[in-house]
Amino acid sequence: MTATALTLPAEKPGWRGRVDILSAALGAVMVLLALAAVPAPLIAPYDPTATDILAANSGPSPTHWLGADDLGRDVLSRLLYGARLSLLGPTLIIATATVLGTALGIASAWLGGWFDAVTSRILDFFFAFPGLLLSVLAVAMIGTGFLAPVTALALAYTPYIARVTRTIAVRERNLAYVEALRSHGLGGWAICLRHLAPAVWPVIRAQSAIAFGSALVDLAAVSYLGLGVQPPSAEWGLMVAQGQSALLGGAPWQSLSAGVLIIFVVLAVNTIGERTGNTDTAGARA
Amino acid sequence: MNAPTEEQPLLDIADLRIDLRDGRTVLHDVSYAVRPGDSLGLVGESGSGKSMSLKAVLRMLPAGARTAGGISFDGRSVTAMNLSELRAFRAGQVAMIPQDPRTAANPVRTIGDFLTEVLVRSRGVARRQAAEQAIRQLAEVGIPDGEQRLRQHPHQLSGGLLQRVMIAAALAAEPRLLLADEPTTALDVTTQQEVMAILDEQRHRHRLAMVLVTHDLDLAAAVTDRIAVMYAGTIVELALSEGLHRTAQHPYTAGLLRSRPAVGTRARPVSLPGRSLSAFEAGTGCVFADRCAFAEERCRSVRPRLEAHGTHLVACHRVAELTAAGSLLETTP
Repeated sequence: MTATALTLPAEKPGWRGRVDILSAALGAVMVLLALAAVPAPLIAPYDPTATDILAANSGPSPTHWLGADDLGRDVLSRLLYGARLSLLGPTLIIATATVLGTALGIASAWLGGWFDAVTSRILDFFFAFPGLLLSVLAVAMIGTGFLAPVTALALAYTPYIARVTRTIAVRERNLAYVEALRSHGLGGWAICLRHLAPAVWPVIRAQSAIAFGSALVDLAAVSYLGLGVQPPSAEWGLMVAQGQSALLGGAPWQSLSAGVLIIFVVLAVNTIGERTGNTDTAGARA
Repeated sequence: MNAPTEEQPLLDIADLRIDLRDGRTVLHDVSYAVRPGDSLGLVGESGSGKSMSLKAVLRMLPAGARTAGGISFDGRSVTAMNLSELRAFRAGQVAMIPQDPRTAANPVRTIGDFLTEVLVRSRGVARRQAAEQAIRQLAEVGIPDGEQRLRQHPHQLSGGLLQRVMIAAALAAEPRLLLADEPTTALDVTTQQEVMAILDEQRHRHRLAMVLVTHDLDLAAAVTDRIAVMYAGTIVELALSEGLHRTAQHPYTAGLLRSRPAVGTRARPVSLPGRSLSAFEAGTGCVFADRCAFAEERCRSVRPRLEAHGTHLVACHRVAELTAAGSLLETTP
């Protein structure tokens, strides 16, 4: 056999393994939901704050597809508008936590020493507080609204990402190839950005997806407690809370539909995160 | 930077001492010099400090390790370099050839990425040009189908092929000094020959200086000009490679030579008694005193210095009497 005959055809990097149908389907629904949330003013059948007192606490009907709340506001319209805040919140939280957590985790792993020690203790401190408690503290300091709980939850979720990142990055950093890169004169930035970050990314992606679900629930809980977004703004957690009295009075539509959406989104991101995480690690081990 | 004269060594290590963070000494009283185009073999057992002395040259010691003594490259002190000078030094002056090529490249990156990354990142070479250069370098180390190889991943190449890639990567920066840390230990015997031959050829063609770390005295004798035999973190004998197997003057060198099996003779290799010590375990006397058949009182209390004896540098109190009695290799105490 000649040397050329031994040469394998170059492998194109592409889909590793099969596409997961369940993840793809859930992902598609999530995308649709996000696509409906952004142009809510265009698709929503009613103004989310317009009241129709005659329709108050009514069930699903041709005029109000998901009924109306105690003030006669259209539930479907409020859900669509609510999706903006309810999805934007966790997105901001997780984006901040992922960027900050990954950066801190990799920096800790790379620099080690006192930086690692100090960062790890600070992260432990935030890790010790439940996200909800931090949010309540932030609201007490800054006041109710969107910003306070989002900031607090971003800080609360950073340690989750940072710890996982640090563990993987430490393992990766101790591999012989990193030493070889250093011996070639490559700087710390280049190694961290081009080698360590891609190595931690698959796990962080899965971790972030799962954290997105928790952040959404936490944010909804803050709103439910009346500490987050204030009425008359539409937000899913707030809608669950506002629908409570109507729920007891036999008109469950508002609380129920907002609650179902929260549960669906959380289950969907958890499932996607877990399944893509599994295929990634399976691919890496193979 | 002044051009090195024949007298001026390229790499000059003087009284190097390394202590780890926990206070253990791994290297002490190590001095050697390598002139441009020269090659030195560092030979010794595991834990004798051979690899540490290479890492010290690149300033890649474990965190918290303390270095004392001088390491200078082309007249500049390596220990005094700041971070950017150090990176430029690593990227352009000196290249390391790793022990196990299979672990020395990021497994999820292609060979092309590995070969071009440093050129693109730290030298600002355009991607396309870097790839062309990489293909030329692969051809130089005997890999003709470089273009396909660049697209492959490390696991698709054999160990020997991968070690050639490592040599190509080392030569890419046009360094003046090669540091080879047991470059053939992880390879098959037949591949070892090939890789050493390529390394030797490239070294001569580019007139590179080399420090070769190995535990294989025969290999070192075959490809280097001089050999430094290390034991317990220090050099016990330094001599020209040629003829060292006949003229060994230190009892440890003689013991090493006797303990290797010889093809073609039925003589049993004689192993050294006891186990090899690390630097921090050695007492105040000669580091080899515990295992030396010729050790006497002063060997256990006073540490001998590395001194000239004939053409060799030997660290042994009794070298004069031992060599006067005839070749150490035949002497039995």
